[in-house]
Amino acid sequence: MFEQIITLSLASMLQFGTPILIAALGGVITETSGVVNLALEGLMRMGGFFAIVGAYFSGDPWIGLLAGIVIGVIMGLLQAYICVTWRGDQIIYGVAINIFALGGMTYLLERIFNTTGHSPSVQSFSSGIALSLDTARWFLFTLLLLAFGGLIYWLFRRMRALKDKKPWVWLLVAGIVGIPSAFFLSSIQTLINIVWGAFDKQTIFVYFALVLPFLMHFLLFKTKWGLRIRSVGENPKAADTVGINIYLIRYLCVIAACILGAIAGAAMSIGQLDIFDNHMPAGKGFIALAAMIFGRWKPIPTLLAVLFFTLAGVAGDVIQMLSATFPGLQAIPRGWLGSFPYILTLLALAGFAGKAVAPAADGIPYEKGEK
Amino acid sequence: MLKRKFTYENLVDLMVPLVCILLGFIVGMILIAVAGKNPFGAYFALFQGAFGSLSNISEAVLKTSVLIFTGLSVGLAYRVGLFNIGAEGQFIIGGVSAAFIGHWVRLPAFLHIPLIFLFAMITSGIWALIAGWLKVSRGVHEVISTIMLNWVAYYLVENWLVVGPMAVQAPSGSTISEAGTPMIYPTAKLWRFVSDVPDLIGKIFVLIAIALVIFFIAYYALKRGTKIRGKALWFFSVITTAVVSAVSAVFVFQWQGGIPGVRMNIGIFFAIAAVVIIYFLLFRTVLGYEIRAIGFNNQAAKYAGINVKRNILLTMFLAGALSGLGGVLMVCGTEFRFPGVFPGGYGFDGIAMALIGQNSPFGILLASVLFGIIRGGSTAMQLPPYKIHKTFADIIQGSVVLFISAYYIIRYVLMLPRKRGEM
Repeated sequence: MFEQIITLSLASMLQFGTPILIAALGGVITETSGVVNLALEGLMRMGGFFAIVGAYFSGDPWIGLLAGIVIGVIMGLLQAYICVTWRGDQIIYGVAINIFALGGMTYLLERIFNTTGHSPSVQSFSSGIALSLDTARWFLFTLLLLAFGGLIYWLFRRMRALKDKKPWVWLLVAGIVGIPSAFFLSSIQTLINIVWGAFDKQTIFVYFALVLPFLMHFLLFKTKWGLRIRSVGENPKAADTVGINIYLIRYLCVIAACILGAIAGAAMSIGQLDIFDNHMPAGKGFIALAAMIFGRWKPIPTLLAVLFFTLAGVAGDVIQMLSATFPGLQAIPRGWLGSFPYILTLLALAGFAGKAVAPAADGIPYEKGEK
Repeated sequence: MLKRKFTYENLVDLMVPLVCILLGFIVGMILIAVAGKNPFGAYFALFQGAFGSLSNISEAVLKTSVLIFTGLSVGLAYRVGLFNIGAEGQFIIGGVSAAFIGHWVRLPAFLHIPLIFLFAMITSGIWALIAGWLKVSRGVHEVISTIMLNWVAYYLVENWLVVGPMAVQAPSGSTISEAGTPMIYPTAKLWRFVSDVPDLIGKIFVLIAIALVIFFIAYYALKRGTKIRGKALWFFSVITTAVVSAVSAVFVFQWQGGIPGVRMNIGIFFAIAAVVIIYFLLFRTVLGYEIRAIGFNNQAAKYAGINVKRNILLTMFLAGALSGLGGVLMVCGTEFRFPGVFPGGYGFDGIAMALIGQNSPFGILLASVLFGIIRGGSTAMQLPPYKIHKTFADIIQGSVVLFISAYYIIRYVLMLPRKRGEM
């Protein structure tokens, strides 16, 4: 019973959280470079719609994804041109795109598919990638190993006595502790079942979203380009002085964010479903922004923040499932459950936002030669 | 008195919103042309849809009056430096408060309507105050918190209150979710111009109102425009008033009421009054000065001894109250209940109104009139020869705001002729 509930809620967490996580990471990269992107909601809508259009006319979901990415690039160039080159107000731009996407996609939906509710169904990724129980076991093993490794790495970073040790010490400890315990845990049948149930038939977007935070962490904190991006977001004038091309960095980051926003939309339309529903994305772009703030503009904390929000998001489903066994839970109105993630977001922001510090130049256009 | 010099740059600043609107319309034209329709014909249909008949005009006026309130709400908050995206949620809260007082309290009309206004202003003001409080005491960015509050309001009101505790007891066979809350009492309804001017007393009140308005207009027009002063000024104003009132009396007493399609009501007067009040608040009072000072430079205002937190909270409360009044107009003027499917979106449109109107009360008024017309007329574009979906209005609105975000580009282009002249 509880195994089933955990499995189902994990599966729906992955589905619910994937677009939010991808969009939130888009927000992370653009705001790290100092450009606010309030248009994520609209971008998700556009990306989702054009992915459907591409898949509809080509019959291939990959072409659909490509169409979504292309629209992301176009919107990114537009935003960068207006907000970076011409120093337009970034918040107003975001509002404009959100309004435009709302009307424009409804209009196009009617022009192209002749409906107002949702598009016809297309070839999509929604059937997902099937896992066998054996694969699930190795998948669980890898996940656990990575988790142990990460935990030990974090411990090494935090504890003063261990901080200066060479990397091979860390690897050795991780191997000695991690491999046997991961092997032991991954042989528990219940855990295998849960992982199999959660990940079986999930789309490629889920895997993409789970890998992306770590890739972005690596990009932002371990590479030269990441240092440049962060310096442009924190102190553009200093970055300009040492010869970093601020406009180039901001252009790239804005375009990357718009692509991620569009992919997030595609993850909803050709990922979870095979249609474009006219209500998409129903505020998920804004939850993504909140998750980004809650994650303090950093990729891995953002991943945790998204997990937190998705937990709240699937709470409704879980309570519905539980109400079969506990009839008392049926008395909770639907509206309360619906508003729960948003109230939780507010509480989380109220409790933690004081510690969160945005990149110093976030939202401030940069003008060359400014005094 | 310091006389401001009117330069070419001032002219450009004034022109930018107009150019943005024009460009927005051109984008719309291109879209229609791409769809293979005649853009001029479609725009003609749009304006015919807005002005074609009395009921069409009244629909445009209704939309305008609600847009003014939500636009003012966003514009006022913008003046203190806050971006109130939560107008939609405050609008919903105002509407549901009106539906609550309208049905669950019985009072004579002259008490009922003020009570609704007061209650809705307080509830939606407090709703907005949550975001204000989070901003000043916890440092939560108001854009995020107001968006979250929108969704909370949406779920709590439309998925719980309206279908749960406040739902009408449905007769068997009909679905509750379509029904919404019960109808409000007639005493809570705002007067409609054409369909119900009920009795002699009502007609006399209308006449007195007309006479007062005409008198003030005539008095100020004569004072400003002519050199008549003293007793002659009064004399001429009274004469004008008497003549115009007599003419309108003929029409007023011939009103039999009963054009059911015409839903226009006195809400538009409240909206215009709100524009004037907000203008005076912002530009003629100490509070307004402080608000603008904070919006202009938060830190400087603080060091000048202005209580920044208190002003932000107060402004947020007022902004919420304004949005809430929009919801009141919707419930008490148009729908007469909180329907299961609430005609929302006005809060988001309010953002566009504030941006297009450059956050000045009269600019917001003009923007709301324009988009009230477009939204009123866009339903007519859905009819056969053009068949353009009514979200076309959103497209125009979105592109106008997009052009406004590209402010510097348009300014640069407009400044070009001047620069060439200097060279």
